[in-house]
Amino acid sequence: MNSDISIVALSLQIALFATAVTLPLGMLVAWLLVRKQFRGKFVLDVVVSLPLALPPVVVGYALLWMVGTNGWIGQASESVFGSTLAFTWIAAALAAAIVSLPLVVRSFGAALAGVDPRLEIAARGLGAGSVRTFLTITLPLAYRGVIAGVLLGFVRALSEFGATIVVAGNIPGRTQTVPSAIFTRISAGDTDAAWRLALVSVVLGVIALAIHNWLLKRSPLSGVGRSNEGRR
Amino acid sequence: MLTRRSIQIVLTLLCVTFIASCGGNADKDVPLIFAAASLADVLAESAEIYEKETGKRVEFNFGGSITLANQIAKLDAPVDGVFFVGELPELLLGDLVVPVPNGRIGLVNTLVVIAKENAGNVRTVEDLAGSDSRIAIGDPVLAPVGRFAKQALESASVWDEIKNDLIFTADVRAALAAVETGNSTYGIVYRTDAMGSDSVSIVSEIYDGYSPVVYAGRTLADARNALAAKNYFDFISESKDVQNVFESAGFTVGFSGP
Repeated sequence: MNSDISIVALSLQIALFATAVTLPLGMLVAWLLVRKQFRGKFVLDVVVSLPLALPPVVVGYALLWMVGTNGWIGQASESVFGSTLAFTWIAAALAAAIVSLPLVVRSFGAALAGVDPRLEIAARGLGAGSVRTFLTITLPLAYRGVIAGVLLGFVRALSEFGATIVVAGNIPGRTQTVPSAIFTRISAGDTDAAWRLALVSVVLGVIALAIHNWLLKRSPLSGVGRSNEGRR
Repeated sequence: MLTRRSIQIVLTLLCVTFIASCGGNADKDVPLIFAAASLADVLAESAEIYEKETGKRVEFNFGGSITLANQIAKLDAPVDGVFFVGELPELLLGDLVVPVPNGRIGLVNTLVVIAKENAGNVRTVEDLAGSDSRIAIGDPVLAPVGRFAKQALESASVWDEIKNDLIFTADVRAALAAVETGNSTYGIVYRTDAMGSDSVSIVSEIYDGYSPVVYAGRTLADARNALAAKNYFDFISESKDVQNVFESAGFTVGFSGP
């Protein structure tokens, strides 16, 4: 039981770190894709969405080269910390961040798109800068969709297996997440232990999705087509 | 309600989590040792004895020795010691490992064919050819036990006939589990794994036809906690209690040296 708790704790730590990365990055990308026009916008969209279309092991393998001795992240890490990031929990967190980013960007994009741009233009016209407009007009109107996006990204980060196994291994106490531990227990024939952790995953997933759907029900987007707003 | 206050609270929580999680999990002086899957139980027990007598801890990662050796040799896994079996991991690691000093404990194992309690008519390796049943072995690409099994099956001239009935697993414990759960009728595992399991029985001992199954503990030359790993290996080489653990599990114990 003890090791169950520590495995869940490590998974939560990795997923929180990944979410802390995808939240600002996802918001920036979503805002660029929804509010801005620029050359290469199509490319950005494809690159950010790519992890959704690739097998997670491919994502993990690509990341492995970046964080190993031949990659720029690995070399930077070696000069600062003395070792590469491969097979560390940070590599696992980066893998989780990359695979959850497309989901986060899409969720944030939908939330931002539900905010009337005329309100933002009005605020800018009254003298507010970009950041202030974003924080005081856009975000308060979009916040339910944003929280839903964070939840989706978080639970996706918790579930990542293929990329994590490749870039961080399955080292108990250091990089063994809930999915990796379930896999090991299934492989070892330890069915009771595997079911325990599987149950934890199901419970976490149900809670996250329930809150996610509830939030989206109450957001401005859900009123489209049902209210009289458009018929003035 | 999204107030300035709530944004502040959320951001603070995120920062605190971020900083707290940067503590990392690798304790100082606790060596990380990658080891063959078949050593899982005995090394865990040896670590308990080590901690009881010296107060020091060891951490392990068990799996197919070839898989793990590749992670160290090709992918820079940050490991301090290894306890692998067979020649190939040693070749893969090359001069990443320090030469084995004299007096270092080594283990020897043998292969057996296993089946669940009430199995069929197999009494020797050759019998597997006519059995028309699934046979679980480690993947020869990932685990030495699979290579040894393949050698044994080739020496008995049955490999070509049964190779389509083979189930490859990532390591020996997964092969054992395949037979324990009934997903495979037969399996080829180490004698020690069969002895450690309650729900399978040995239907045939395989004494020859494959390379010697020898385990050796080595430290990594450039590792952060190489000294801690060396201390652990020195301890288990000298401790009678640990040697008893190995022998009770079915390993043959020997020592390197002139």
